[in-house]
Amino acid sequence: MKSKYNDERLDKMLGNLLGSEVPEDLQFHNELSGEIIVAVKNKEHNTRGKIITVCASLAAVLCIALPVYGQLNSNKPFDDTETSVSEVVYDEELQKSIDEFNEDRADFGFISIPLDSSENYRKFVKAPEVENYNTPEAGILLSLGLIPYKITETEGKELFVKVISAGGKTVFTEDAYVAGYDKEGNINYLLHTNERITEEEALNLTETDQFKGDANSRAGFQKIVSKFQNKDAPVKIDGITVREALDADTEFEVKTGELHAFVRRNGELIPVNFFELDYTVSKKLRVPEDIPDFIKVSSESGKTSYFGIFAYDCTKANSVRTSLSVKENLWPV
Amino acid sequence: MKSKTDISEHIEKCGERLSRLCINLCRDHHDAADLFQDTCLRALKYYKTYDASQEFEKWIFRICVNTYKSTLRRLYNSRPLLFGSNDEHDEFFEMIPDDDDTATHEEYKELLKAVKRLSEKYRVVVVLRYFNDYSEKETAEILGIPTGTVKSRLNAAKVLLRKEMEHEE
Repeated sequence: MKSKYNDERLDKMLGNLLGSEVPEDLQFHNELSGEIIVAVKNKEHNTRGKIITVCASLAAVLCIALPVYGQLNSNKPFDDTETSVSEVVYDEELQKSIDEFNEDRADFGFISIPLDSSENYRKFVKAPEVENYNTPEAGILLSLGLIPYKITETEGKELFVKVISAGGKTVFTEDAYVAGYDKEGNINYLLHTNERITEEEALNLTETDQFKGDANSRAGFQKIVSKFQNKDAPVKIDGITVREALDADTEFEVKTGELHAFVRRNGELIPVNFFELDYTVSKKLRVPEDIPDFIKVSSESGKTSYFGIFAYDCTKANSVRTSLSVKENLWPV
Repeated sequence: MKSKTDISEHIEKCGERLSRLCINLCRDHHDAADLFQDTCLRALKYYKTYDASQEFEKWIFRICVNTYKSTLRRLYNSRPLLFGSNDEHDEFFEMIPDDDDTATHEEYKELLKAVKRLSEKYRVVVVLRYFNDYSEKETAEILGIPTGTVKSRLNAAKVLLRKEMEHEE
């Protein structure tokens, strides 16, 4: 039977309904304009005091995207004209590196965030003393030539983070990294925190050339996630069936996360993304030998969990999902 | 350099359309007012990242959609469709053009209910596409998703709306 609401009519109705003018008393900006001006004044005052332009150098950096919410809401304002390098560096080695290479953090768009003492800061140590190099995260970092480095007390220190322009994407904060390179271009330390420094914010960022590949990598990852989210079809990655189609009543959960990072190669900041997929179903669905090696599988109490990290080189026109075994092809030194 | 009046001027210019976007996204006009305010405050916060070569309206619409999706979604989805008063309800529907025989006000009311019942991913696409007559490409840019996804979500949303409307009859 032909629908009463054909495409043309539905389009017209939707246009009329959603596109019509708003009654006067529902035009919110009329009430807000005064507030905006006050807020602008307050914001300008606060921001000027709190955002620091650090006149220091950094040989090379690796960081993830961080909204500036925490920075703007910090209770510790400081004046950029009075803050010296020694007061704001994260630790002695970072300071050493800054002095040695005579570069300016501000050139990399860094924002300084004061830290409190926290056990949440992960403690890395230099190889070969690292205890847990077998995690996928550590594997990716190591394959990029990043050497985890131990950090301890954070009270009074500051972390330098950067808001990455990501093609108009919303970027949420999960982790932060700051890394330094030696004269040969090898990263000689890495600072890492998994503390939630800022709240999730709807941060809107503008596109830059540096991150032009981001949309591709994100779309690629979303495609993988959507495969897992679809119950009705088997999941295939690289031609391998990772999961058969699910029963209608099967329970499953897909957790995703992403980590934006810059790696410096040959004097240029190269954007890379890591995406995480954490997937659990209520029963075992596939024999382990068929699972690609970049997806880790574990079973417990009748539940099968899959965990994978997908890395993308955002500098490529078409981003590439990769396992650790081929990463060298993506990030040549 | 951006002055402190830049953003308020921008918001003044696109205020009505931003109001409309908030109303279309939310189920409740009070929530819509909250979303509007939250969007403006976030825009203020991140105004320094705004690239003046881009359209301000699209920039702030993107913030609005992101704000809706991230912060207040739980609230918006937990309340029934509500107008502040009968007058508000009537006035809202009176604004819909009736210069042709496209549909009756009853049908528009059913359509509005159906739109509000759509899941977020469909509702956001429908709202952007139809409230401002954005192309699928422009809608995709604002949402940061592929154009093909916008197209497929629009088609799926229309199927759902059609079913809902016909079921109501």
